Amino acid sequence: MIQAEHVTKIFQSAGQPKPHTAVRDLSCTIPGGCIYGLVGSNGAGKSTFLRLLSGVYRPDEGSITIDGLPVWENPEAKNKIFYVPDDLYFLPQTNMNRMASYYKALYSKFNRQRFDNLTETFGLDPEANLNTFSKGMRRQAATILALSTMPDYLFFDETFDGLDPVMRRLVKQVIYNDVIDRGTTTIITSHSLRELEDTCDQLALLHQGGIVFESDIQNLKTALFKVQIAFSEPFDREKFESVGINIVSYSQMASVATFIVRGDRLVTEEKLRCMNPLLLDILPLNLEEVFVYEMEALGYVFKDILM
Amino acid sequence: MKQSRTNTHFFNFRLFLEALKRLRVIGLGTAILALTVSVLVPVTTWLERNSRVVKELYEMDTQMLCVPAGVVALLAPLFFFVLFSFLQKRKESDFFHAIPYTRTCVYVSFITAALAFIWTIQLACGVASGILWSMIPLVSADIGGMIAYVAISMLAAAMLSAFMMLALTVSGTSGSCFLLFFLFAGFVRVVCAIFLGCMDTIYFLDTSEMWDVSFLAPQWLLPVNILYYWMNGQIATTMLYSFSNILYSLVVTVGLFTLAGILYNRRKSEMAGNPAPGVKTQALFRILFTSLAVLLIPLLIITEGVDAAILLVLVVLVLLVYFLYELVTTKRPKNLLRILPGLGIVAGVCVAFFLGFEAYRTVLIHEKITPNEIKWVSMESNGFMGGTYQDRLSDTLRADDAELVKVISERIAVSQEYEREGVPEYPYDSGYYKRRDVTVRLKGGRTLYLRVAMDDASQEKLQARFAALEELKDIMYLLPTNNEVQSAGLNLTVYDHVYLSDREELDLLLSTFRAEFETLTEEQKAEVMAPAFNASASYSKGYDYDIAYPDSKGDGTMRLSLSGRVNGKRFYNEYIITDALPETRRIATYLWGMGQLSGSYIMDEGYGVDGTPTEVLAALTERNEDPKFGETYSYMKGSVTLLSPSGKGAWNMTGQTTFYLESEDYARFAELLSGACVITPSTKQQDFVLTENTYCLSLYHEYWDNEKSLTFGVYGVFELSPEALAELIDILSFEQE
Repeated sequence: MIQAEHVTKIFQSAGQPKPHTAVRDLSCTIPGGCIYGLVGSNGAGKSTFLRLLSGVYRPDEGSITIDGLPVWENPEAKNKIFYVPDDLYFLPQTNMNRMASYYKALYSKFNRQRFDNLTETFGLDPEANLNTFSKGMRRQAATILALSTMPDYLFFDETFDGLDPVMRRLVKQVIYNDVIDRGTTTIITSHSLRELEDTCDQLALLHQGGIVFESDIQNLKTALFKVQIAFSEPFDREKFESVGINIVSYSQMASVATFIVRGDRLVTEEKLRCMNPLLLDILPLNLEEVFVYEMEALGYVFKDILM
Repeated sequence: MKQSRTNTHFFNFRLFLEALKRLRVIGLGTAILALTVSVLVPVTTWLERNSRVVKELYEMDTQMLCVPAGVVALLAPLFFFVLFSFLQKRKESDFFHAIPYTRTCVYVSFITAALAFIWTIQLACGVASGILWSMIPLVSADIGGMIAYVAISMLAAAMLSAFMMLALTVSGTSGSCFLLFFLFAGFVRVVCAIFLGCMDTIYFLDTSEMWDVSFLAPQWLLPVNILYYWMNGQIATTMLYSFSNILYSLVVTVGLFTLAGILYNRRKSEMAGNPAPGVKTQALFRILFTSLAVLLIPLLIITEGVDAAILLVLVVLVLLVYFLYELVTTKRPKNLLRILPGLGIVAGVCVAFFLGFEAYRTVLIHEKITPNEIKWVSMESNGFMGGTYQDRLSDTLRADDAELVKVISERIAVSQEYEREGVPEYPYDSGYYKRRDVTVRLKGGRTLYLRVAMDDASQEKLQARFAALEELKDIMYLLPTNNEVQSAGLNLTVYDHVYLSDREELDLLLSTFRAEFETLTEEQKAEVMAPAFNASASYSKGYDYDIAYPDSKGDGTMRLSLSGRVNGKRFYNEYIITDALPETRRIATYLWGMGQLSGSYIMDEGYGVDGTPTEVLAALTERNEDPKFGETYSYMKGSVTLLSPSGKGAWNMTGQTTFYLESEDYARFAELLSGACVITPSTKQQDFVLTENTYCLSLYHEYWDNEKSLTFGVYGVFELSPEALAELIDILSFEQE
């Protein structure tokens, strides 16, 4: 389990007088054995948060523990973690085998067999110079090396960027398998909700250094739904709220109303049918729509966050 | 929650190996170059010396025996720069900070690897050089000195690396890293040098001593010593091998590495790509760097006096340094306006230095130094020639004689008055400045290095009081110990020098000399040590005939020259081997003769022989029968020294066209000497007998005309009857033309 409590990280550059707060009083608990998605716009603090979790950065305030162990300057904790950054780095003039040797020397649980299997699965040449790899191939190589260290916690920063759909699917599958087989906790960041929708168990939205929204994916998808309803006689919002329907967002054009409901879908449908509408459609929301309405409920304009 | 830590060792061998791998390009490249030079220099020296017709022993300068070790020391910071370059790139920094090792472990493992690599290269160079120099004949190399030089180079490498490490921990870009490296390494010493430069204007101070030994001297920075050693060609200061400098350098090096380690632990990894940890430290570094430039202003004002134009140029220079530093390190032109207020601090540094120095000067030239405050006084050149063993010993004599101290106190007051009046360089009289360089130790613990104005009366009093010192008397006729002597030679003239390369033979000669010297009267000792006491004991006045001093007469004698180190300084002494040292003279003559054995040679077009005098004389006879030689000549020159070790006489002549030999002279010359050589390769020291008819000959002759040439040299010890001697002198035409 990862626990972050009131974590703040401020950057001060020698060339710029104004400090920049990348992560601001962030608290969250990430349970073990899940795939946790972190979404946010550029500069939201995703990469900074991952670096804090990896022990690369030291929080200016707050604490971060992994399985109860502080991460900062703690080799025991770091041995459980592997961080794959968005901007990959490999040792100069090296190949995958050399990198594997390097990691084998540094990480006690490095599994050579797994490395060989994954390399073969992905179809990469472990002897080829990594500088000759395309961006996507380098990402694959980084993923293979990460998984081969047999970590308990895997952090991927914009990992699927640059991967073709086939490889993306393959990488996701490999990660899934790792989570299922070994109970690995994986955190994936992205600026695309669609990218994370079918991958993650939990999602959090990061904005200006803080988590503004966090929830289980399944809950997110089922907690809200859209209703389109029409009546022959005039009606308003009160008609529905008076029967206990929790309306998050409401719009009406003539005799057709469209509103977002938070609650049990079957119960709500039952209630609406009792009203004998001319038209009744109950539609699921995609994740982006869910986020939009949840943000609006919290007072944010979603497009301002993710544009 | 209590932290649970494992793998908190300070060193990890895998990281150490990884660091070595990171250094393999620069390391192997440096090693190959350094070792190649280490091998090439002795080999080419041997080839060059071996190709000479005249094969004589050559003493190699110690600082040239293993130059690569010093060069590697100066390159050492680059190793650290390459190894820790990850601190300057964000993604590389993240990579190394994410691995499951503590920063301390990474730091210690990495610096150990870097130092191991650097020191291994230096040691390898030392070993290669030492082995080769030892094997090369005809080249004398101070291997012990070379080993010491390599050891010092290793310490210098560590010291420079420590400065670089410190710069790496507080910077995140290459440009700022190198600027800070030079700032950290040089700031203290540059400021001290500027201060010393200003102090040079205070004539009252003996800054030459301060430049040499005081803590302000640049040589306290060990790498400066190495550069100075190369440029100067010899150990010119006491610093290079002094224990205090070595200890200071060790402490500074260890301290810097420790400080760098602490800063490395505290360093924010996001600093990669930033020139400094923050805005304030950036400002501090910028101001410190610019201070070095701004101090040129008070330096030049105080030492040279500057006009408005020069001052304007200096101010512009300071501004350029200030703004360029910011631009180069941050690459943000917008900052240039923001940093303007910092110039006020820079200006303040300039003013503070200037005022501070003037205040120091004022205090110095007004300070009353009473006799009661003086603990002891030492003076240079106490009646001995400079640079001699006695001179070096007497430099350190500390006198607390009340009368002497009183004289010094009075003369200090006079000197201070001269300084206040602005009198330059003290009164000049009779061709020399009346002053003495004195070191005054006060009871409060301060040591003053002063240049004190003297008059005749004070000079005499001081000489008298110093001469009366028991310690001075003790050292007057002190001979250096065998351990203090590093090299020795035997001279007939200032040009005829035989280097005594065999340590065993040298020790025998020294022991014999010492034993005989102890039995001499004071007058006899003074005669032996005349060169140490006065400059008039020159060679040129010791010969019956000298082309340079044709009217001079005297007894030319063989001299023993000894050089070495005492009290951290080099000394050089010459001792006249007089009649009172018969056994010394015998052994010296023997060693001189043995040293000349392979030095004789003869050559002309297509012909060359070198070997013993006997062999060369035989060859001369053979060539003389060759019809090639005629009677005319267009160019002839030579030099000859003929000396009787027994003191019967000495003849010396050098110059062009003053050494005339007819063609038949060659034959007679060869005939006279051929059977007279008494020192051959088989002659044993204990069997050699020095008689009244024994002569040392050192002769060199060149003859050229349009068709012919002949060059020969004959060096050896010969037994000549009075008749043979007269004929030889006649042949050699010791007549002034």
